[in-house]
Amino acid sequence: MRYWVLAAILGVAFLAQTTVVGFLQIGGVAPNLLQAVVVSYGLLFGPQVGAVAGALAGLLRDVAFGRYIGLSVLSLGAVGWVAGLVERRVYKENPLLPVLGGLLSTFLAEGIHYAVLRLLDPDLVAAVPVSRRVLPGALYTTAVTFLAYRRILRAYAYLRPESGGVIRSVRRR
Amino acid sequence: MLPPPHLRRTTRSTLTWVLVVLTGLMLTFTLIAVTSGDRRAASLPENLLATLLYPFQNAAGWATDRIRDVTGGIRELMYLREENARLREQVERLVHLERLNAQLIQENQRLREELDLRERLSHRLIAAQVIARDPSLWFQAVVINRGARHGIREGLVVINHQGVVGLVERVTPFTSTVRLMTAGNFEITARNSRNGEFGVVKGQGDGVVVRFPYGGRDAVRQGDIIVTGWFQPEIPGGLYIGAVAEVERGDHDLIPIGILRPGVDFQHLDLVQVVVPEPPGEEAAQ
Repeated sequence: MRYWVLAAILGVAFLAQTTVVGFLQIGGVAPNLLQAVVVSYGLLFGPQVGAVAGALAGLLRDVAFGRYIGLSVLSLGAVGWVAGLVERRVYKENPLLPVLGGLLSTFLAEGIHYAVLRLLDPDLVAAVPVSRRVLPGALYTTAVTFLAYRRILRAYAYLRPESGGVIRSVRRR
Repeated sequence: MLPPPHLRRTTRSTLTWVLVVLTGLMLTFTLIAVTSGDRRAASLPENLLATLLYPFQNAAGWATDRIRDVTGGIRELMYLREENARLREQVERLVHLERLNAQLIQENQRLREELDLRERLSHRLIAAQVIARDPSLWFQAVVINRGARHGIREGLVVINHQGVVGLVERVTPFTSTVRLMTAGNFEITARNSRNGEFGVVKGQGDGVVVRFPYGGRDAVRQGDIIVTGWFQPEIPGGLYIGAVAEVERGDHDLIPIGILRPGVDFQHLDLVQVVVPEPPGEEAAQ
């Protein structure tokens, strides 16, 4: 596995997320490119790569902006790990995979944020209109996940040279 | 009886993985707990990462600005005639306002002298550019390219030509994190410019409200202009926050709540100014 390339993609995604993506807001909602990349890593390379990439991306985000360091480590790490759990049980070329991944990962990540923040900062949770914001964010992130996933899938053979160019989709019996 | 060697290897690797995950989770929860207090000073790793990211964010911000300039230029070219007429009208209005402002300053100075009021704190503006944004739904913040080295400190108010943008939350040597007015944990004292009633402006994630806990039923009306109050020494009073778009009745119909339409367009933040208070003596020395 070409881990340094995976790390570089994650770094570029982080920079793009904090600079360019902010200007792509629609109705105050921006897509989560970092999460899209983490979900794609999980779905394509398994739970270990997904969890580690998610934790690293979360740490970057928390240290750069964070009010609570570790919160995004937890949410993105969990997203990468859960996405990775289905890696060998699904056909990776299926276009529905990133769509479902993007949608469910947003609910999972925001759910973790909600649960932890409810304990730490109930006033903040009460002030943010979660129901109004999560669904548009999830749809936008799903679209970005679809694009990111297709792009990374195309580079699968390069990123995982040991696969010999064969996309390992379903667990061998 | 022991399991065969290949199964033992699998069990060992699963155990190692479980241990790593558990340790990671424990560390993460400890980190969250440690950083959950009211901390304002940035830690060493935060300072280091912010300093490391600063040139990249600056470069990316610069490139984004150029792209926006080009696309904006093309759009403006298409509406040049209309734009020109509108700008000419605006210039005329501004010239009139400038004259009026000069008169008001003179009048204000004369009245203050007559009332023997002490001189108000003066303020210095530090211009800064937004170089990054927090992608999170929960903590709405932006990073600006000015930090402790440029004289910025926590708690200062950040404005742009449209009004109050937010408050400086954390400062690193070259950058600062600004909590936007729309963030759920934003709070600032405010004043209704119609009747002088004091209230509190609070962020609501995707909007801003103003509450007047000590005001009567008439404390706020639709269309009222809300400005910063005088209670926070770091924040000058009278800065434009927004206009009341709608009024709701709060607890038992007693506390009026104004839904604000902020002056600032938070989706297109670019150049901002940090307001740094300076005591009058310091200004005189300069």
